[in-house]
Amino acid sequence: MRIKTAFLFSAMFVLGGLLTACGSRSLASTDFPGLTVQGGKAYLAAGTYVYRVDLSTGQEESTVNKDGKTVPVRFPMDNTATGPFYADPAFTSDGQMIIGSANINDRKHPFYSANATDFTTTQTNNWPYQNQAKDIWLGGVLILNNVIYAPNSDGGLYSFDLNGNMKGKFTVNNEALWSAPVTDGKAIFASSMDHYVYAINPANLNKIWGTELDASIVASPVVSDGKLYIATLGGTVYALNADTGEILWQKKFEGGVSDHVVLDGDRLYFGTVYQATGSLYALNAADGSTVWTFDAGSAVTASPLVKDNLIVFVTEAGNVRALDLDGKPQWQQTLGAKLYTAPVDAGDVILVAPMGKSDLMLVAYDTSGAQKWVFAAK
Amino acid sequence: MDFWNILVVQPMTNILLTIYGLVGNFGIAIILFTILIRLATHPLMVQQIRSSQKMQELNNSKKFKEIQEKYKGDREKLSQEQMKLYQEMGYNPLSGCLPTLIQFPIIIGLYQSIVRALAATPLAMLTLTRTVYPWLANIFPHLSLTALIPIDKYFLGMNLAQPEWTLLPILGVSIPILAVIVALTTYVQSKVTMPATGTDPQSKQMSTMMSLYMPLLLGYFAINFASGLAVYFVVSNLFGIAQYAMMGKVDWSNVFKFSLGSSTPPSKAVTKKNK
Repeated sequence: MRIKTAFLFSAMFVLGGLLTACGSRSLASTDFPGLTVQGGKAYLAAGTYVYRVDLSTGQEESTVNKDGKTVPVRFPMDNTATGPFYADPAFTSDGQMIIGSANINDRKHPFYSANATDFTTTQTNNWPYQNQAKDIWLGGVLILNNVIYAPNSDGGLYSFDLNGNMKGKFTVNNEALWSAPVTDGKAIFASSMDHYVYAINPANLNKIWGTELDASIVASPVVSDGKLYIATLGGTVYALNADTGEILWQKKFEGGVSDHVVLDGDRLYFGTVYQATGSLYALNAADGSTVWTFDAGSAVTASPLVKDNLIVFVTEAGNVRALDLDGKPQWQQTLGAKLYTAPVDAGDVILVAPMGKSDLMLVAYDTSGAQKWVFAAK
Repeated sequence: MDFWNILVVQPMTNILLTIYGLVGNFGIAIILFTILIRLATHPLMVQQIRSSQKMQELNNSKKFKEIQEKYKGDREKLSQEQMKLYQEMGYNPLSGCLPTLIQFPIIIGLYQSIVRALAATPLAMLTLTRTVYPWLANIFPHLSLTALIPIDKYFLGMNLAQPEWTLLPILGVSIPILAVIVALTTYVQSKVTMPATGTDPQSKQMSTMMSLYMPLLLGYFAINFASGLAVYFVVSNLFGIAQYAMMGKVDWSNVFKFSLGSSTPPSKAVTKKNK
């Protein structure tokens, strides 16, 4: 009996250990990292911290803390905020960095404002706690006319003023909002996991229109010249009338699309995921006809970047590839890490944010594919 | 561990999603899935009951009592002689652990399946798209990923992907009601299904400690992990009690016994069986 009891106790503790293993703190991101470039710095939301990396050196700044120790300047500086952080950090005109927490076990679902210079927390989690945000914050925010529009996984689009006072809330059908809303200056457009894309009045957060698509929508729409371009997990790309929500054309592709389409001139570019493989497509934005297809040999979860007549994209297998505008390969670099976050244009360099490796968190390339620097968290 | 994924998590996730596709409610899918697992492991439970009865008979045997008396001053020797007796009688003390042991991969697999099916982050969604068997949608179109996603994660007002805390408006505080129910049902199940452990006071103490620690441990899990797992615990406990009751093995009088090592008479159920 004692053997049996001791065995059961041991087994229960092993079970506890196995279940809790996913909650450990790590410098590297355990989900798609968020990345924003602002004022000569890259802000990388990669799990426990938001890192600020100087674009010319690829290094973090450091400061001396109250204990006299030299520490890197990364958010949170003062242990008053807890991640993980996966959204693209956003910046207000008065110097705040805005980001929400994706901590599923924190019932307050905190949403933070930090001083973008020294990374001290200036506004903590009062907003959603008081207003009952019920889930995590995965999407970046839209800041329009000094109002912050923040999508939550509980299906609420919350609006706040720059002091953190809640102004309103728009709710979809109990399903998640995972991506930042976009605007054409008149309306806000939000895509939802409930299969709908919505046009919302920014003044009062009332719905203008909602159009049902074929599947959940993970990423933001793109709006230009009165048209909305959007892709779904079902692998369908749509063009909608931005004023009415009417579907102008739709095209179905093999696999799913998990990031936004990119509009450049008269073309749309996007990547697909089909099991372990994927492709990059160029479409004619006017009618959705396929201009060319490039077999990437691996899943393409992130949007491509169009820069200097190149289309730069990343694959899950860890390849950074550049094609010309006709879809012909120009260069390729291979990193030993999974790549899920879209490459970001940072002026002289293109930034790529691998996932899951603390010694390979941000990599800079020039447009010829030469690696300029690598940022590793210490 | 890809074999773990292929052999445990992927099949469990697909079964869960298939049930969800049929009933349209993820909480009910977890409940039905739990009952399926309980029915599938019913033979193991019967084996555990038999093992407990055999242990009970052994502990009440004359020879066992003689050994206890003879070596009461030498615990090491007593333990060796007890093991020898178990071997002579063809009894394996670990055999009763098998049903509990089977529970562990199920609990871990179910937890991972719930988290995977509810796909709370983009990486989880990517994993989910690769978990669902492609042929499933060919047979049942309503089980295609585009039809299934997003999974409705709410059940009785709870978000099944998060730990459950219910706000009490009058007091203005939140309490983990489901975790309390998990702890209570685990305690009741362990007490009403606990066999009498004969005359060995150490064994009795161990059993009583187990019936206290297990509810606390599972309650702790319920507070800290997705509430879908807590739903599994509650249904599993209630169904387990029902299974024992249908076999005539439940002894409700045990629920209010809190002795720690003191001698207690054998339970009614086992006494009846021993006659």
